[in-house]
Amino acid sequence: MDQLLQFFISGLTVGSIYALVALGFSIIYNASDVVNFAQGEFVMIGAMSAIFMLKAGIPYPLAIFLAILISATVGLCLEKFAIEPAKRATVVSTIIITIGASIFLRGAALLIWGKDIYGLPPFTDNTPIHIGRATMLPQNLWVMLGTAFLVIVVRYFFDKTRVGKAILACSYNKKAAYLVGINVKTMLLIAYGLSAALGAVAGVLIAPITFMTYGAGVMLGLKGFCAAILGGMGNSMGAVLGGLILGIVETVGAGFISSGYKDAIAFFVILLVLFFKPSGILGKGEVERV
Amino acid sequence: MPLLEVKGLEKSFGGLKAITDLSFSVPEGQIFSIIGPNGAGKTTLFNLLTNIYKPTKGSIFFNKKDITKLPPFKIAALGISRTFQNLQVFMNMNVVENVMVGCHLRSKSGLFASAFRLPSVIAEEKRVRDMALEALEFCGLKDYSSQPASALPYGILKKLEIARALASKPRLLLMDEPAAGLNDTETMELCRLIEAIRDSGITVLLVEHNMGLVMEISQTVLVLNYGRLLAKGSPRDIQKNPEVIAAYLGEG
Amino acid sequence: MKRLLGFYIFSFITLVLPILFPDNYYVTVVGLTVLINISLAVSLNLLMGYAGQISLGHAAFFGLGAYSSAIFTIKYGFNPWTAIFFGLLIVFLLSYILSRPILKLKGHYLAMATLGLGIIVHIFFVQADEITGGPDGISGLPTLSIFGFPIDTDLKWYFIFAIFMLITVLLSLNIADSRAGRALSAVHGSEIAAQMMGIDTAKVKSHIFVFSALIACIAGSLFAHQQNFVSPESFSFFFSIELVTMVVLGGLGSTFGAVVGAFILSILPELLIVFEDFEVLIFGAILMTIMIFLPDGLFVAIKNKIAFLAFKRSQKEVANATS
Ligand SMILES: Nc1ncnc2c1ncn2[C@@H]1O[C@H](COP(=O)(O)OP(=O)(O)O)[C@@H](O)[C@H]1O
Ligand SMILES: [Mg+2]
Repeated sequence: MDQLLQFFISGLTVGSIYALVALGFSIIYNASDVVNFAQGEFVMIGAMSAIFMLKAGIPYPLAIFLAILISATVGLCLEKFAIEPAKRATVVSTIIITIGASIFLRGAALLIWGKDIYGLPPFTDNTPIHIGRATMLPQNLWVMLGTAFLVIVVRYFFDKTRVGKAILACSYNKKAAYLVGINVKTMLLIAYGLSAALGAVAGVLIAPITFMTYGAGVMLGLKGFCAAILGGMGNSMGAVLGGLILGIVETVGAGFISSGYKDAIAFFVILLVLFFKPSGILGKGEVERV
Repeated sequence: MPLLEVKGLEKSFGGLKAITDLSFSVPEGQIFSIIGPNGAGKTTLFNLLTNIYKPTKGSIFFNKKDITKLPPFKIAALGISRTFQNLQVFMNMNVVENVMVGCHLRSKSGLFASAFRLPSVIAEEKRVRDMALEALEFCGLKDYSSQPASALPYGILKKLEIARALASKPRLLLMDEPAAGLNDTETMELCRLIEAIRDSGITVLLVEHNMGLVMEISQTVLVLNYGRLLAKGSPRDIQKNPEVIAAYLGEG
Repeated sequence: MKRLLGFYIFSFITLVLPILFPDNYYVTVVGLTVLINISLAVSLNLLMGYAGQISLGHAAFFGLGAYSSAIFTIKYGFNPWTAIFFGLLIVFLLSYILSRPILKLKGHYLAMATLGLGIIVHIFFVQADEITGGPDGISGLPTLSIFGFPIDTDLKWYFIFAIFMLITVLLSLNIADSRAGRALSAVHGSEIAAQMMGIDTAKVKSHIFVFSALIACIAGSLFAHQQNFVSPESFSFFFSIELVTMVVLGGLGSTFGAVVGAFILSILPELLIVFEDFEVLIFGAILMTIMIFLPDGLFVAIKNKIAFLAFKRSQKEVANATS
């Protein structure tokens, strides 16, 4: 029982990170129909920039803020220089473009930061908190609460603000959005920037718990994609749910079966879910109209 | 003995009932038209007949056989083919290849035989191409046969769908708004083409908004309104039916 | 003859190169990688280009072929040919069982499922060390013999790989011009219309999935015997992505497109080595640039351009003749 609780805590922590990455996926997907395989690189860039700015003596909060800003800028550039010029892009060609972008960003990170492994100090004093016989670090709490906060903010942004609603309008029908006077190009830029910023936050939150390298974005990105699909592509609350489920399944699987097979278990569960529910947990199966 | 028989058919999408308790039968050899305002459920009916949508209730018989639960490709094999309101031309192929796909049921080489190009495949290729060219000729498209589908205008693509459907030698052909988007000359040609199809022994089920065309060539007209059968009869009866005039013809 | 003219020219070049340059590093060493990658890209193109079904896990079948050969020859002492047969049997069963539920999925969901499959198989190679030797892999594979003649030099391997690659290309070209190939293109163009023409789309997709998996499996076995060694690295998610990139880079749906894409992507790292640390960065940049500006792929874009110019020329001739 205690062990289960322990898994649950760890699971929710990684799950929160997956949820943020998945949320980033779904924001970009909703705005532009692109599945951005460079999403994981946003996480890596966020974490690595924070780490190196901290090393350079910039105060921790400012370093975090700047790291988020850097990642968001990278997101804007991705949209501006890789997505926007691709006029006749199909599903497959956008996949290749974003994979190209992720390789490019990884290559840049390798040049700038090298191959070494880094970490961030915890945000606050890291004395373990005991819950029964399970323990939790304050950083875990930071991750969960930070995620919960961001999910609420994003939800509010899309439900209540003009810009948020305009981005969603672009996702339903670009032409119509354009006709009612929405600046589609700007909306897409905002979506990419926002999504990259979310990725960076995920990176900064998780870097004190796991280690970071220039290549750490790959698996995080894939898991985020997994989570977004699990929840139903384009459904942002589905993405969050998918992330949490994925995190918990993975930790429980690692604990009870084998930690080496951790990732395999996660992907196996996705396959099973898709076999029975081909459009994810909260996704609507769409019928093509002919 | 009707060729197609529909009994108590129903289809709902969530709360919306697109087809409600619909029963009718189509005699062999007719041009049988279905008319009704936009959203009446005509396309949905076609999708139910070909099992692209699963009916919520009811059953469909073709040539006395219950086809309600058969997958579309098996329904096609029994002799039903169709064209689509939203064009479903294979844009990645040229014209004759599109129609050769229509000959799928009349040929049989599988993946293995095709990959090794066994002698039977070479002979069949030639036969299939001839069949396709015949269908193209019938529809007046022979000159386009080697053009890529993606380069052709809308009117030609509509005819191409008809040629492709005919290439499977169906007994029943469902046509969903074939005249939509055509100019007057093209519509006249289409009119002759549909009659020629009927005269070649194929029963035609036609959904069409062009009333001139419908009334000129149909033997039976069925009026759908909000997914229900409003009236059914000869074009003459339908034109005189006060309910139909009120619900539909009166509007336009 | 005309139908396969390109193929004959291509075969001639492939087979004459090593005779002209038997000791050239780029022919007999890089060439082997190029040849195996072409086979894999062409097989993947059957599924992705012809049938329009994306797969981000093709390396899994390549790996299963390689590992089957390694495991059955070394751990169980079977003759290499028997091992290849076992590999085919395993891949056949696995791909056949998985094909229907996986290919029911569409678009990004299909991408996810095939990605998952590839990653699971790769993790199995890394983790199941009693069977697969873990991260270190298995070394010491015996060399392959044909009718008692051992294939023991790079040059001999070149010819084996080349013949296998040419057969793959030929099968792919044959399929394109056939009832089966049209059924695949129809599935790609409109699944609903394909069904209405009597095509059992689920079956067609499943068959081509299995077929392309089997080609990858044989490629894997040959690769393992040539290298004398297998390790998980060669069959990772990254390699699956590389294969997809090859297909798309050349031009989805064109057999020679896949050939060109595989060729470029296989020699590119060799050329980029001079950039050292910049290699990864430049590789990503090239990938993005080509896809942004030539989404139809290099080979297909060039082919279309030539066809377009020929068309314009014929128009001009018609105009000249009538004026
Ligand atoms: N796939 C679907 N999902 C939800 N509603 C649908 C679907 N297809 C049709 N409908 C609804 O069913 C009704 C009938 O549509 P349709 O059959 O296309 O009409 P028609 O062809 O007569 O113009 C419409 O209200 C339409 O919105
Ligand atoms: Mg309609």
